[in-house]
Amino acid sequence: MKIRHIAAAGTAALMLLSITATSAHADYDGTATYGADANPDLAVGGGSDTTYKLMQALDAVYNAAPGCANDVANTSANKGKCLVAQEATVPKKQNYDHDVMTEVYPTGSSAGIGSLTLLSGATQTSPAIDYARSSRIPSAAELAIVSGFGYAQDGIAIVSPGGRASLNLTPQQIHDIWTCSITDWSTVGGAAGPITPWSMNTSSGTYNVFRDYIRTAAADALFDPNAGACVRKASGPLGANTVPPFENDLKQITEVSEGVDPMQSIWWGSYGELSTYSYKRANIYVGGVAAPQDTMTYIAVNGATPGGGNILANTYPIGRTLYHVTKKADADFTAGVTPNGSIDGGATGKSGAIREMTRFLCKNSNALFDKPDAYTGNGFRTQIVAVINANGFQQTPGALRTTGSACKIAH
Amino acid sequence: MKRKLAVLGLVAALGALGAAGSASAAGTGVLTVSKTTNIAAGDTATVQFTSGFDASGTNQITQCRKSDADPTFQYLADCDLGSEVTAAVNPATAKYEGLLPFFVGMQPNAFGALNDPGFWACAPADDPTLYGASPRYSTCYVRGVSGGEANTAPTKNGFVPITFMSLAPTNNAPESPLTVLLPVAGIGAAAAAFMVIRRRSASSIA
Repeated sequence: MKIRHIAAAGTAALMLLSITATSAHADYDGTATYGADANPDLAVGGGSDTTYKLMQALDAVYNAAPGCANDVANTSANKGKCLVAQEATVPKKQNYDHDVMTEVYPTGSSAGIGSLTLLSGATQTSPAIDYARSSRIPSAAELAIVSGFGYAQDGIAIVSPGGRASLNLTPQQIHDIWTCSITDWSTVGGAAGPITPWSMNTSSGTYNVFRDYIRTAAADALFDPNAGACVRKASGPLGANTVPPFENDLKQITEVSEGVDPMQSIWWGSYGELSTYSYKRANIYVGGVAAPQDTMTYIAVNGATPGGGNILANTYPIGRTLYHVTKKADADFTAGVTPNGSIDGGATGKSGAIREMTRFLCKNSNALFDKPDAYTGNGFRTQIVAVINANGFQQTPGALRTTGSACKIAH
Repeated sequence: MKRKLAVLGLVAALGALGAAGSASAAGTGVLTVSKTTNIAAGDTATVQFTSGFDASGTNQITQCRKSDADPTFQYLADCDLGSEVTAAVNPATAKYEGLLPFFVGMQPNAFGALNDPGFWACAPADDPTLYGASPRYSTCYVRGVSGGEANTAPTKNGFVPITFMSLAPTNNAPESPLTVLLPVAGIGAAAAAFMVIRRRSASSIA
């Protein structure tokens, strides 16, 4: 009897704790100002190839989110604008102004962030972009100018064209393959044959994350997967071409046949993209047949093959967070606001639009939106997760998130 | 005759080992799942793509709340991609296999405040947890799919139903897992068959 009472008291205490924890969630609306000004603004994103489709899909959700009643009078000078200005003290929780977000064709994460920071001679993208897509975290130097909001999670998959049995590699073996000291598959447990490692566009976050993982895991601070004499570039005989291929499309490497057997290739790429788009992971010339075939093999790293489960749990060895990157003047994290900080920044115009879109991505519960998605009826957090999943990625793992947010915030 | 019956009994007993978790709904691919009943939090199962799937390429495993026998099945809403495991070829069997960690309770991909509506749970019927307003399913499914999660072709899909360990306290002795009971039953059947055959042979000699 006594034990039953103690158990009941314990359960009640746990329930209370749970309620307390729930009430501490923040919606990152801050306390003072908002980015809504009753005018629809257009903001443009650019950079990452990996997140190009994903951000377009998230833009579509945001652009169609419920907001103000707008002026639809055909002869009105304010056509399209809100009929009622945003109330100063009552935050509208979707896209009040009906702002419009859109994405330009990929240039790579570093090129996207460079368009915002203009560091080291970087130039603006054409057309000019207002925020960046990045599949890597901004560097310390970049974070002096921009902030990163990690809204999704991916894994770097090590892959080989079809016909090769599943293998398991250690980071050191991966290092040795790209530095050309392991040159035959039989050395790492595969059927004998010369290994052909491939390079990658250095502006891509996918290049940077892979390089940095091997630098750390194999203790070689100077490792560069593009530098080895055995590493192939986009086309032409070995050493005759210095342009690495763009990431995440296996056809680029298996359609090249000068001097190598493309089926002996090894490369890396986004698990999200490669697992979702069969045409991207398709090989050409499998078994001498010149037609795309979906036979890509994942190679395990330290015993783990990438999958949604270990990427969400952040247990896959080469996990990476995908970032929405903003200029600090547009959207930045202010830690001091009770209870869990605030996403602050622009109050009007394009700058305010970026701030509100950033908040939208990082709200961690359906309850923080006051209306559901008008097309699916889902709460917006559910809808955002569904879109992230549909593109092969996971929402940011709980352990990586900034307290009270759905995002891992770097600022 | 008795010898034949004994052999048949042995075959049936051993066959039960493989048949325990092998089934399919509308999808025609055949999956073999090493554990399908009395699943508790922390349990795992080996899932084998036994037949009907792609022999090479991408084969993935997830836990779902519905199978494609339900005409409303939609993989994004009804399967938790946070549970996804990518299968790899097991050299011993030459089949794609993966180790699926089951979830019991809210789907792992449902971070949020008090289990936001729109997400769902797999749990035994007598689980008193409310899971917010989220629907709960006492029968869920293991899904195997070739060519990516979005591939809904029946020939590339296989589903096996799974059920969960009751939370109600009972006076029963702790249940032994099938992986223990079935081999023991098989060995018992084989021993019985051997004894029958031996006895029969002994009596014919006499």
